[in-house]
Amino acid sequence: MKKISLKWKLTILYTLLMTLLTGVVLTVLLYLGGDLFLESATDVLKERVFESVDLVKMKKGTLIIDSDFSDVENGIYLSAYDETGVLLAGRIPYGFTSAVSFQENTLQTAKLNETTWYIFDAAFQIRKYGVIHIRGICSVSAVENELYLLIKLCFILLPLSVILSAVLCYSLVKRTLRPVSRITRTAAEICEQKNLSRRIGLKGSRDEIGVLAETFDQMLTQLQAAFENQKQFTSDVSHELRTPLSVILSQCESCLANPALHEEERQALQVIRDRTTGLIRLVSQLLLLSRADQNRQPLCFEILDFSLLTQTVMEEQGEIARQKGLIMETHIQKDIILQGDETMLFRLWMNLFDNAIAYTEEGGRIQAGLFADDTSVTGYVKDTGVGISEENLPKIWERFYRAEPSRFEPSHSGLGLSMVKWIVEAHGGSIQAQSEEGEGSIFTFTLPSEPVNKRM
Amino acid sequence: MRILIAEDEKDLNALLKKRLEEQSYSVDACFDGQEAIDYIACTEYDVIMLDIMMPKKSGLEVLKALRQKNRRTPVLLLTAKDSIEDRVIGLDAGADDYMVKPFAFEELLARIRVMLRKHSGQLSNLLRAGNLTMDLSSHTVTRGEQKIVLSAKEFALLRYLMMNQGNVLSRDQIEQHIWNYDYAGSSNMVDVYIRYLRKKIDDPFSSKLIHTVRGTGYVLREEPDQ
Repeated sequence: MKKISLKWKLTILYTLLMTLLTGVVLTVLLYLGGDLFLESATDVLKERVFESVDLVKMKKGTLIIDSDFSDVENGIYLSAYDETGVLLAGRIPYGFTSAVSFQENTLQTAKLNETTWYIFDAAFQIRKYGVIHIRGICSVSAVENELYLLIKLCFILLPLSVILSAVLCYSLVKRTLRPVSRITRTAAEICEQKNLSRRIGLKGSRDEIGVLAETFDQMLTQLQAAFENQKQFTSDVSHELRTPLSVILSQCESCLANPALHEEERQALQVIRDRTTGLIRLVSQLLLLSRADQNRQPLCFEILDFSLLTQTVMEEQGEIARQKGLIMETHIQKDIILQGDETMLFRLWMNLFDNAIAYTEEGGRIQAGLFADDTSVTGYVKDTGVGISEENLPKIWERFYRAEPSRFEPSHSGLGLSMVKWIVEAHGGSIQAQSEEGEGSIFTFTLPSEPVNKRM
Repeated sequence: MRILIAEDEKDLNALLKKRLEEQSYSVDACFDGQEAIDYIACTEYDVIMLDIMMPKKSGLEVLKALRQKNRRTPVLLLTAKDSIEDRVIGLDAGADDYMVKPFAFEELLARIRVMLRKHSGQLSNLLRAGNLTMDLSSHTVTRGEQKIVLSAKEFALLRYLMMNQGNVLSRDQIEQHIWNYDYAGSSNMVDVYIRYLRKKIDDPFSSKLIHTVRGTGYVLREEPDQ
């Protein structure tokens, strides 16, 4: 039942209910309906007979019987007899030939030539005339035929009404639930595009779902405002910090240019300069990421030789790795061409290497490679470093996350992997990290080899 | 080559930045005179474009402050149509050139090339080092008979090296002139880019043009003895 939608569930439930009801109605009709129907037919016969006496009158010493008496109504034939049994007026059905004796106020049944008849007699005292007998006859078969026709009709109409009601129920439920699927779609789009500016915008309906949608929209508005405030704050802070930091740096440099400086002062100034440089880089990276969050970071896409670019970074970083006493192995497939932002793709590799170098002890090994198939380009950096514990693995992409807080290096901002993730995603790719604590980590990213027309 | 734009009209500012970046210049943009002074204090620009009418401090004030500090950075003034007086004051105060708004962008680019050329002592848009030729107006690079395709950043880097032929450039200098403020720096990006450029400019050829000066930086020069 898990996969069946609410729409179908309701329709099935409703249809089942309708079928059950129809079944009960038909059963009742079959078992009780026949008797009831026949009973009512005899009642009608009796009634007609008793009513017909009004059609018989004495006028100026002559018995007058109204012409309506001879009409056959509801299949009931009426006939009037005098005391001796002579037919005075009325009609007898064709084929009713037997002489049935009068039995007042009793329902008799006569079977003649395959036809069964109900006969009802009544005697009336007519003033100035005497007694007349009125007999009503009707065919049981005709009544039964009517009954069968009715039952047949029920057998056709009731199932038909079940089908009709199922269809109606489905469309009604579908209509009612349409806003719900709209809410779902909007929520899915927000998740997919990470775009909080979308709204359900359900207008007009003030029912429960309409109110739900409106509340949802209000919540989104608040969320969006909160997110935007946060982003704007980061962006403002970064911008406001950068200028004064740059001023500090340039002042430091102009002071350091003074040859008469004491060694102690020089060292102090150099520390200030180095730390300020680090801070400026940090602020720039924060600003870049905050612009990326707001989709305002421009990327400059060019067609480039990704193999050559990768080779260059690996040679450069390889020297740093060797200085630290690490073994570096690279496997680069040649002539992989793709479209991307050159500086950002350099950053991608450099940050991955910086990370691997920083967390691998002397004597460790870094393996890196690049290969392509028809649709995608895959790059990886594998190290034999400290690794990342399973619980921390999802956190590594977070800003300012550090595997070991004690291992603080000024050149490592804690933003490197956040930036890596953003760069890969801005190029339409994806990145995964696998790691075992104490054994090492492997970062693998995949970029589409088809040009991406995504401008951030 | 790094350019500063100080222009308070947002649309024009954004347009200028975009068009100049397309020409492989790295560009910082600011919107008032005070901001311009802050930017100039922190970075060595190759060209500064100043709008005369700006909030907080006018373009002329910025220019005067710059020249008082003996900074020779080429300055291009952007002026409105009817302010001949401003232009005269500007040129007298040490501006190198001016453009009257509205202007044709091609002309602006040409003026910038002229200013850069004058500043580095070049005579034309063709830069040469040995058999390496760089045409700044058509954006083409050839070495001997071979055409070399460079990315935007590589072109900017080579242009900076060529314009400062024979001068040793520090990594900081290179970083400052090739990337703008928006670039989130990384410690050895310059080294990586130089290595990348060498693969295209030097590696296929016997005589090398880009040289590493230990502990200092890089220099582009022809070494006849090699």
